[in-house]
Amino acid sequence: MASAKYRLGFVGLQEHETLIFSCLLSIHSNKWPKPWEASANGSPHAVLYDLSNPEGLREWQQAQSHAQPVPIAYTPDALPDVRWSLKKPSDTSALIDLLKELAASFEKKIDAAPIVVVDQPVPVQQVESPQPTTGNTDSDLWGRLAAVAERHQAADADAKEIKLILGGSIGAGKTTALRTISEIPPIHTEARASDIVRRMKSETTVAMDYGEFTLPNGKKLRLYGTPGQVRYEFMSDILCRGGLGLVLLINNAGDNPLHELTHYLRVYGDFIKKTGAVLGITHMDQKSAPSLHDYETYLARDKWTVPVFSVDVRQREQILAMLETLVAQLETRKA
Amino acid sequence: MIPQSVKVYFYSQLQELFQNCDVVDAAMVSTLDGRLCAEKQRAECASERVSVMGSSLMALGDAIAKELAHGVCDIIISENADGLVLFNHINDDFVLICVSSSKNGLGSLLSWARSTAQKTAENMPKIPMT
Repeated sequence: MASAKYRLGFVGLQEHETLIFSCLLSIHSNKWPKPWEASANGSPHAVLYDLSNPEGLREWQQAQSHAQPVPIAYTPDALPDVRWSLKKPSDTSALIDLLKELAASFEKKIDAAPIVVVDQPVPVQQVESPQPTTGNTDSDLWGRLAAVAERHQAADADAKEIKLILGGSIGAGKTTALRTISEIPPIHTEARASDIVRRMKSETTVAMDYGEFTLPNGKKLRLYGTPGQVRYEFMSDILCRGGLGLVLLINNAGDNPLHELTHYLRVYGDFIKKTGAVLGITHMDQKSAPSLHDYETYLARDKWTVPVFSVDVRQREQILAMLETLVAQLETRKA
Repeated sequence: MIPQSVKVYFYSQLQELFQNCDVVDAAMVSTLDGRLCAEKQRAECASERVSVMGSSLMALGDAIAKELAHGVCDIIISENADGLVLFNHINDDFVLICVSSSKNGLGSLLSWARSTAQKTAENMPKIPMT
C-alpha cells in the first residue's frame, strides 16, 4: 500500500532525471522491507534538491531549518559538512545506499522515542512504523495502473480501452510473458514458421496474441502481443493505437540483440515517446553479452529513458516488477 | 525454404485461375506465416505486403473459428468500397489470396478461388520444409 512506503520528493531536477530516479525506486522497491517511492502527491519523507539549479539551491537552503522532510543535497560538489548529500550525477548504488541509510535513521528515531524535532512537529504519517511486508502487493500495482489508465483515457481520444503492448524480437518470449500474466486463456495467432525462424521455434505469431486482466476498478486490462518478425510491423502500428505503454522484450541469445533493439526503437519510437516503455532482456542465461550495462549505455547514448531488466518471462513476479516500473514511469509522465 | 519447383507449381495454378476467372485482378499464394511464394497480376498490387497482411487475417480467422468451435476457417471475404479480396486456406501451410476490383464479381471469384485452392491442395507436391 502507498502508506507503507517512504516517499522521496524532487526539487530542481530535470524531468528526465526525476523519471529515472522514480524508475530506480520502483525497480528496487521489492528489496526493502519498506520501500521508497517517488512522491507524486503525498507529503514526502525526504526531498532531493538539485543544487546546480538556483531554485533547488534556494529551496534546499530554506529546508535546512526543518527536520522533515529531510533535505538531501544533489550536487556535483563535495559537501563534507552536510549530513545528507548525493553526488551528481548519481549511480544507482549511491542512491540506494543513501536511501537505505536514511530509512535506517527513520527507524532508529522510532525506536528511540521521544523523537527530537528541531523546528516543527513531525506529522504522524512521516514516522510510520516499518511494515512487515516485502514490498508492493499485486493489487497495489493494478490499482496504480488503473489510475494511470484513467488519466490516459481522459487525455487520448484513441484510448478507448486499457491496453498494454508486448513487443520485441523473435523468440524473446512475448507470447509466454502474456500467458504468464493473463487471467484468461490467451488467444494466439500462430502459424508454422517456414523461414529462418524455424531454427528457433516451429511456430511464430503472425497477427497478435491477446490476454486480459481485470483491474481493481472492474475494467479490463487488455494485453496485446505483437509479431516479432519485421514483415509484421504493420500489426504493431495497429495494436499500439491508444496503448498505455510498451513492454519491449529482446532475446539476448539472438544474433545481434543491440541491432534488434535499434530496430524496435525505430518501430516503437513515437509510441515510447508518447507513453512509456520498459526493456526486458531475456535468455541472458544462454548468452550473457551484451550485458545490462551495455543496453543502458546504448539507450543513454540516444537519450532513451527506458529502464532495463534481465527477465525470465515465465516468472510472474519478474513480469510484475517490469510492469511496476512502467507504471511508475507513466505516473511520473502524466503527473 | 520453399523449393523452386513448388513455386512453379503454384504459378501454374494461378495461371489456370486467370484463364478461367476474368474478374480476378491479382492472385498470390503465400505461406501461412506471410511469405510470398507465387503471384500473378493483371493490375498492380502490393503483393508482398498483401501476403503478409493476409496471413495475419487468416490466422485471426483461424483463432475466431477456434474460439467459436466452428472448426477450420476456410475463407475470409473482405468486401471493400472499391473491390474484393478473398483469403482462402489451401492447406495448413499455404493461403491463396485473390483480389478483384469488380464489386459484382463475388460469386465468380468465390467459386474459382475455392476450386483453385482445392485443386492446388490435391495435387500438391510433397514439400521438404527445411
